[in-house]
Amino acid sequence: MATLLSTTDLTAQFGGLTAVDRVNLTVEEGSVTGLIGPNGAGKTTAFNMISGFLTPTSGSVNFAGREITGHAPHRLAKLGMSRTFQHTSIFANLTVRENILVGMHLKIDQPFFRTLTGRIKPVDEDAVREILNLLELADRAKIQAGSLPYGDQRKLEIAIALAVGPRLLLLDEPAAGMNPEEAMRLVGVIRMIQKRDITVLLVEHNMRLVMGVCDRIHVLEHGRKIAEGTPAEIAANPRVIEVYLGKGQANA
Amino acid sequence: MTRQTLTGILLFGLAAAVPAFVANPFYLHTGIALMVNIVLALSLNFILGYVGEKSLGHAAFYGIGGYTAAILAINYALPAWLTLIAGAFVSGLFGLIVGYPSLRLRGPYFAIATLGFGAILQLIATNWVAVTKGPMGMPGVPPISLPNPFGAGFVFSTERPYYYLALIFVALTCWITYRLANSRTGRAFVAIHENVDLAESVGIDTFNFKMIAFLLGTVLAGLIGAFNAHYTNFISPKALEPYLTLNAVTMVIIGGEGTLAGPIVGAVLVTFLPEVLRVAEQYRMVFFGLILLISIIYAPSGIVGLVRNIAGRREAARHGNAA
Amino acid sequence: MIWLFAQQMVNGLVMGSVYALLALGLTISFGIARVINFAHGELYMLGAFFTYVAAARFGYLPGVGISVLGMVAIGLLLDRLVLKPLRKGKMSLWAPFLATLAVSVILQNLAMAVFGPDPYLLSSPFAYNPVIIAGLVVTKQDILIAGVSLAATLLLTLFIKKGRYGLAMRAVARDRQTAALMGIGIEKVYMLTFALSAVLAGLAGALVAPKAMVDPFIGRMALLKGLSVVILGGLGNIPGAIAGGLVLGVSEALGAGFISAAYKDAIGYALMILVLLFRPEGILGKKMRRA
Repeated sequence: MATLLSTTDLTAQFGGLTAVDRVNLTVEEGSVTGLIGPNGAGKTTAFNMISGFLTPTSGSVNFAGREITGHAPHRLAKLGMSRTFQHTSIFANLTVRENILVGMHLKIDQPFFRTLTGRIKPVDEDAVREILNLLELADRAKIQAGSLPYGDQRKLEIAIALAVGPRLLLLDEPAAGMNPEEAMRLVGVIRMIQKRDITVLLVEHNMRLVMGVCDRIHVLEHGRKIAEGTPAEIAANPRVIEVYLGKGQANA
Repeated sequence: MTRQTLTGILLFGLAAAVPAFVANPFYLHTGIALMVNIVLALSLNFILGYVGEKSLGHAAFYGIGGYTAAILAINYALPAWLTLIAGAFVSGLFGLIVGYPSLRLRGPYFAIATLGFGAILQLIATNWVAVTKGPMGMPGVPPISLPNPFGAGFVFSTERPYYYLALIFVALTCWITYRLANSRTGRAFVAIHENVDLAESVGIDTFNFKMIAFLLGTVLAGLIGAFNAHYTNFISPKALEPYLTLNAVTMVIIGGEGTLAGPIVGAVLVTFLPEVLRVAEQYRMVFFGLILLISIIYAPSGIVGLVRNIAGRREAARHGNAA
Repeated sequence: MIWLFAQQMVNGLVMGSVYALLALGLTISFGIARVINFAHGELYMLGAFFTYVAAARFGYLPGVGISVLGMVAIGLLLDRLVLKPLRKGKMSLWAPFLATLAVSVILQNLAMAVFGPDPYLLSSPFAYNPVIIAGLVVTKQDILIAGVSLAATLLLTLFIKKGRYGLAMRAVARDRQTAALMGIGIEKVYMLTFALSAVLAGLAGALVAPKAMVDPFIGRMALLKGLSVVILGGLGNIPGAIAGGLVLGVSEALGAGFISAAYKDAIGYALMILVLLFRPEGILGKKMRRA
C-alpha cells in the first residue's frame, strides 16, 4: 500500500509549551488509522496542523505526494482531505440537505458570474441522496440541522465531510458523547467509508472503538509519539499499557 | 412558478403602475427615496446579512459613487450612462482596497477598517476642496439623459423617468440576491456566516467569497449613489455621514438579515419611521437607536425572522413535532 | 527645524498619552469581554460633558472626580442593560458590536438633545500660562494629562497583574468557561471591566476637553483614534495599547507639523491599514494566523 499522508518532525509550540514534539506519522492509503493518547497528548493539535487549521512551528506534512505544510484548509479540501471537528460542527440554521450541498461546494459547477447571467447547472440530486442514505439521514433532509437530535448531528458532520468527496477523511473524536450502542453503529459507518476507498485517520478516546476499527494505531503522550503498530501490538505494548492503565485510567 | 417569484412579479407590476395613477411629484419622490434605500439595504445585505461580516462604512461607498459621477459629469461632461458605471466601478475599487487587508483576518478587523474608512472619506471630501469643492458640496450635477444617435437625447426632467430607472435598479438588485440565494455562491456566503471553520474545511475559499460579497455590495452602493447624485443634482460630504451607514445597517437588521424580503421591509420602515417619529422632535434619533438596540437584543433575526418563527411554530403545531 | 521637531514630539506625547487611555479602555473590553465597544467614543464624550457640568459648580479638578464616578455608573449600566442580555442564549458573537453601535447613536443624540450641537469650552485653571522648559512650550494641563495618564496606566497594569480581581479578569480573558468552573464570578468581572473601561474613556475626555472643544460629536473621532491605536498595538494587548497610543500621538503631531494639518486625523487610519496588511497581530503582538 502506498503512503497517503505522512508528517515529518511535526512540531507545535505555544509560547514556551511544546504541544506536539517532532512527531512522525504515516497513514497508508485505504487504511483506518487511529491516533490515540491521554488528554493533552497533542492529538487535536497534530490534527489541526495536518488539516491546515494551525501552521506547524516546524516540520512538514505530505499528502498524496506533495508537501502541504501550512496550506489553508480550503486548498487541502481541493486536494482531497476533509475533516470533522471535536465539538459538533454543522451549519445549524440550514436544513440537512443544504448542509450536504455546502459540503459538495467543490463538486457543484455554478460559477459566480454564470449564476448572475444565465442558466446554471442544477445540483446532482443523486449524489445528495446517496450521501443522505449512507448516513441514514434521508428522511431528515428538510429539517433544520440545529434541531436534530445529538446523534443525528454527529452523523450529519460525517455526511458533510463525505460530501466533499475526500481521499482522506479526518475524524476528530467522532464517538464523543455517544452511548455504547451509537458508538458501535459508528464502527459500521467507518467500515463502510473504508469500503468506498476513503482512507480514515481518527482521533478517539473510546478505546473499544479504536481497537475494533483501526488497522494501525499511533500513540501520543505529552506531544511525543511513544508507540505505533497494529491494535494487537498496541494492546500488548508495555509503554502504552503504562500510560493508559498504569494510572488507573482504563477507558473502555 | 413558485409563490415567491409570483409575489415578486406582482409587487414589481404594482410599483411600475404607480406613476400612472399618482401625479403628485412628492409621492413619486418619496417612492424614489424608498427605492434608493432598498438598493442600499440590499447591497449591504450581501456582506452584513449573508456573510455576516460587519460592514460599518457603507455610506462611504454610496458617497464614492456619488462623487465619482458628479466629478465626471461636471468637470468632464461625461454622459450619465458612463458616470453611473464609473461610480459603481470606483466604489468597487475602494471596496477592494478596504476589503483586501481586513477580510483576510478573523475578528473585528473588517468592522473597524470599514468604520474608519467612512470617517476618513468624509475627511477627504471635506478637505480636498480642489476636487470635491469642500464642505459645501457640488451643486449642478446634470440630470440623467439618454443618448440618441439620431437627434436630441432624452433628458430626465421630471420624477417619472427617475422613478422607473430606480425601479430597474431595485429589480436588478433583487434579481442578483434571488439568484445568489439558491446557488453555490449564496450557500458559501451563508456557510461562512454559520461556521467559518467548517466552511473552510469543505473547500470554501472563505476570503474569496467574503470579497465577492463585499465587492458586489460596494458596486451596487456606488451605482445607487451615482444615481442619487444625478437625481438630486447635488453631492456633499453629507452623503458620507455615518447616520446613513447606520440607516442601512438598521434596515438590514430590523428587517431580517440574510433574506431578500428583510432589507426591503427594513427600508420601508426606515424611510417612513423618521416621519412617524417626527412627534418626538429632537429625541427622534434617540428613539431610532433604541429601536435598533431592542431589535438586536430581542429580535436578532428581524421582522422577517419573527414572522417565519410564528409561521414555523404554527406549522410544527399542525404536524406534531417533526424531529 | 530641530526645535519644531522637539516641540511636536512633546505635543505628540501628550496627545499620545490620551490615546493610550482611550485605547486601554477599548482593549480591556475586547480582551476580557470580547466586545468591541463602538460606543467607546461616546463614553469619552460623556466624560467631557460630565466634567463640564460638574466643573461649573465645583471647579475643574473636583469636576473630573465627579465625572469619574458618573462614568462608573455609565459603564455598569452599559454592561447590565445592553451587554448582559446579549450574553444569554446562543447569541451571535457579533451582536454586541451592533448593539454598542446603537448605544453610540442613542448617547450621541441624547447629548445633542440636551446640549445642542454647538461646542462648549471647558475651562481648566491649568490650561493657560504655559511653562517654558528648555525652550519647549508646555501648559500645566499638558503635564496634568501626561501625569494622570501615566498614573492611570500604571494603576491599571498593577491592578490586572497583581490584584485579586485582576487575576480573575485575566482568567476570564483566557477562557471564560474554565474561569466559571473555577468559581470566578464572571458577571462581576464583566461589570468591573466595563466600569474600568468607561472610567478610562471618560478620564481621557475630561483631560482633553480644556485643550479642545466639547460637543456631542467628539466621540466619533475619539473612537476612531482609539480603534486605530488598539489595532496598532494588537487587539487586547495592554502594553501594545500604550505604545500604540504614543506612536499615534507622535505621528500625528509630526504629520500635522510637517505634512498637512487637515489630514492629521487620517494618519491613524493609514497606520492601521499598514498594520493590518503587514503585521495584523500589532506592533507588540505575537504572530497570528490568517484565515
